Amino acid sequence: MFRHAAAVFVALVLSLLAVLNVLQADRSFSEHENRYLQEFPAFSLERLVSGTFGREFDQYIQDQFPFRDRWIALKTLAERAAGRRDNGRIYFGRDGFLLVMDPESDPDRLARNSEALRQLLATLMTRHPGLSASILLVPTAPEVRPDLLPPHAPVPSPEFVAESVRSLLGCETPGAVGPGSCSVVDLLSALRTAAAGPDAPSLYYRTDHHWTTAGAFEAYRAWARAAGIQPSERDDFEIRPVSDRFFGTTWSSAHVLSLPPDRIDAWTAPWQDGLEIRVQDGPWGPGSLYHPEFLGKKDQYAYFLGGNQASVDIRTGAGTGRTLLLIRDSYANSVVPFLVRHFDRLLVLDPRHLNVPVDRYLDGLPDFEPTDFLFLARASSFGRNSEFGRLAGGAGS
Amino acid sequence: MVFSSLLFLYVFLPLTVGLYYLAPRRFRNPLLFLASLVFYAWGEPVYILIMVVSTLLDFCCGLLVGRSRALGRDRAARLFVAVSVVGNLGLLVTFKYADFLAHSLGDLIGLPIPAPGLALPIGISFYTFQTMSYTLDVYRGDARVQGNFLSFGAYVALFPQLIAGPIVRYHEIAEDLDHRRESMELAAAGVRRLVIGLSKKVLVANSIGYAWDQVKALDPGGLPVLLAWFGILAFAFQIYFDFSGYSDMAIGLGNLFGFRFPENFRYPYSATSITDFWRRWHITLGTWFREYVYIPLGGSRAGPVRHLRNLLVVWMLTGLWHGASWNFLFWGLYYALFLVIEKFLFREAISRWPPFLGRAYAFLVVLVGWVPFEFTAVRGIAGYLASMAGFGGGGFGRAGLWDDRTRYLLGSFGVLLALAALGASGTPARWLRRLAASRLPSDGAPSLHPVPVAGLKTGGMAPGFLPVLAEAVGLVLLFLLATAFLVDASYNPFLYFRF
Repeated sequence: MFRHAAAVFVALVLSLLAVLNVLQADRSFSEHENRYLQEFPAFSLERLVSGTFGREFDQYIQDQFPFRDRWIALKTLAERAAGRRDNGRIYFGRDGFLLVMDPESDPDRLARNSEALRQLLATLMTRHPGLSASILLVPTAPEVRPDLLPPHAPVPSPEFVAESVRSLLGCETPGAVGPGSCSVVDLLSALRTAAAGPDAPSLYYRTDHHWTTAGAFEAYRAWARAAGIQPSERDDFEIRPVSDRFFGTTWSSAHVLSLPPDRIDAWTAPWQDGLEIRVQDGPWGPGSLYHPEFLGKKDQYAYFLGGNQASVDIRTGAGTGRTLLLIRDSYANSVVPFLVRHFDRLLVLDPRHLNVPVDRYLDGLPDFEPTDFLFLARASSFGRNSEFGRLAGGAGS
Repeated sequence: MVFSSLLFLYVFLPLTVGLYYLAPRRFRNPLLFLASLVFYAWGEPVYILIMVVSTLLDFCCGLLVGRSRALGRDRAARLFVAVSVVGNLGLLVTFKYADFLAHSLGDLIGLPIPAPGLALPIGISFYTFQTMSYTLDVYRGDARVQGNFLSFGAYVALFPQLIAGPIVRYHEIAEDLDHRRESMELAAAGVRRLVIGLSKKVLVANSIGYAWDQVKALDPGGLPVLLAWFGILAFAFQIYFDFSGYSDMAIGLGNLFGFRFPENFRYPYSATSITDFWRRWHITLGTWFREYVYIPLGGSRAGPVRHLRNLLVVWMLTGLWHGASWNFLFWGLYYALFLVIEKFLFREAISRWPPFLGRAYAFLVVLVGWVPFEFTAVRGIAGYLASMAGFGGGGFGRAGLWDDRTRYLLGSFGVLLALAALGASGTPARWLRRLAASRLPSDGAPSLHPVPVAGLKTGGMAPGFLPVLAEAVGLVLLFLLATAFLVDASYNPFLYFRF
């Protein structure tokens, strides 16, 4: 028996885990991975014959394996020890930064998305002559801070999407899109400048793909300069941390054992109070741009604006006589608190969550008269996600 | 189901082994048959019928061939052999080659021929070859008729080697099928072999395969030289560690149930010639073609012209066996070319080369050969080969040599690549064998092929405490690591779906 110690130990480990696997209770959601886990699949003869039951059962065993999170952390540890600097989803960057690995954009998709955006702009400018439009394509952390990447990490060209959109829209030529002004803001340069220098604030979270409130502030200032608006200064705000235990999306994909959490700051100012807010088809009522209830949950970034609502309509007491139409993804959620100072009304739409294309949705709001337009979304998503085809009904996918 | 899954390792395997050893001996073959059907049906419930048809066909043909021979009616026996061969090849052609034939024929006559578009049943190329071997073995008098359908079914469906080999010819296993004796000795060797095979597949092949996927996703005609070579090297190690790891697992699982399957790989990348390579790579496939095609055609004994023809036939078939498309045919002929050169032109010269030169030559030929194996289209093959030759578009300066991606991938996978190369050379296995000279040549080496059954006779010797402890720790660590890699199996491909 002693001679076979190796085989016996392996058999023991295997049996122990197999028994634990049966005994332990199932989990329905993984906080760590931020996704629902496969539970015991429904059984029917039809599902059995089609192989669906078998596949789901396979996934069930995989998802419910005892100590799942710790096994995955062990794998990450072993891979990094062997020299891996990414795990296929995340680069393990410098200074504890976990950076999303963005695939190359899809030129066809980018062209279709740009066309949808151009059509939406043309429609809006015809209806509202004099509209002032800005387009902010958000770079990701490794694009702004390539020094954070592991050496020689291959990344798509950070300028590609914004430059393609600039040339596809042609909106720098006056009147090319319609009777109004339009500009694709060079956000990459603005953020790179803001991130340079020894005392520069951290513009991105280490454990999440979003920008920090400081990053959102720099983007807001770049937008304001391009739109000819006098922006707020840093000193106009009271800056206070609202969470110091934020583990975001890149942390969920990275499965690292020990990494300090991120901090979320709120930049508050008096003009952010006393807002009337209407979320989707709900009633108008007093509301806040901040949702502290999310700070106790996994997705703490939803503290800003309560996450990706399809539509948020905001009335302020700014008294500027201007109205903003903001088409956005989640990066805009932390920018809105800066924008409210400059508009009487802001309609914030997420084309990915509206059930009709944006132009059709606006058809249903005949009394909505925007003076300003802002499109703000992650550049790499705009370069490959079909959902942005939903900007205009006749275009895109 | 595949071996490299938690479902197999932690649910199917313990249940099957437990029931197997609880069952009385006469129920063990039926139990294995049943378990194997569940194993196969898990992913492909409907296609199990094809396997059952093939099994029934040869069970009957075997009986009829045996009876005809007993009665001295050779023509009848030959007829039933033909029925088996036509039936099995018919299944194979219908499910594997129909689309290929339709497209090729359509291109030839310039008319579109509708392709049936059937999905390829997993393992069909393995089990049809096995069932055929039974009828052929009975006809040739190499095996006795198997009168028990459940035992025959257990042979065909035997889950350890069902979907990725080794291809076990019936006469090699006939004795084990009815009269095997399970033993602690054999089962323990099986567990070791299983863990080593699993580690080869999950820790090495999957990881290095991910690197190859990065390279393969790029334009094959526009790669810097070093990246192209790195890529094909990564693929060479992926397929070797994957395939030989699968065979190790199969052999180990067989041992658990008292079976002794033939070896399938013997450090092929240390071969000193292409002839040598094919004696070490997928040995059971080569043996099958030699036994049932090459030698019946006359082999090398019917004059140089027939010899050449036989080589070409066998290697075209070997190529096509790996997948139904032109690139595999080309790949087979590519090897035929080198084999012919070695046999007819340089037979003497090669044997006098220093071994390192032979190794370098053989490995280079194999490495280049993986290009038409991995790319199906001429454009991809030609482009990738051009990149390897330095015509990837970057010029002949530094830009053509490597780029950032090359340096990044080398940094990320350099250690793994070096370990894989070391493991594939067989050196660690030799070290460990020397280290534990007093006992079994089995250990935590990343690559250990033959655990010859003869080597199991260590009964009388008392192994040292330290080697046993080291082996136990090493093996358990490998097993835990492999489990961790399976829990997060974001990349765990099954490479033989085209076979």
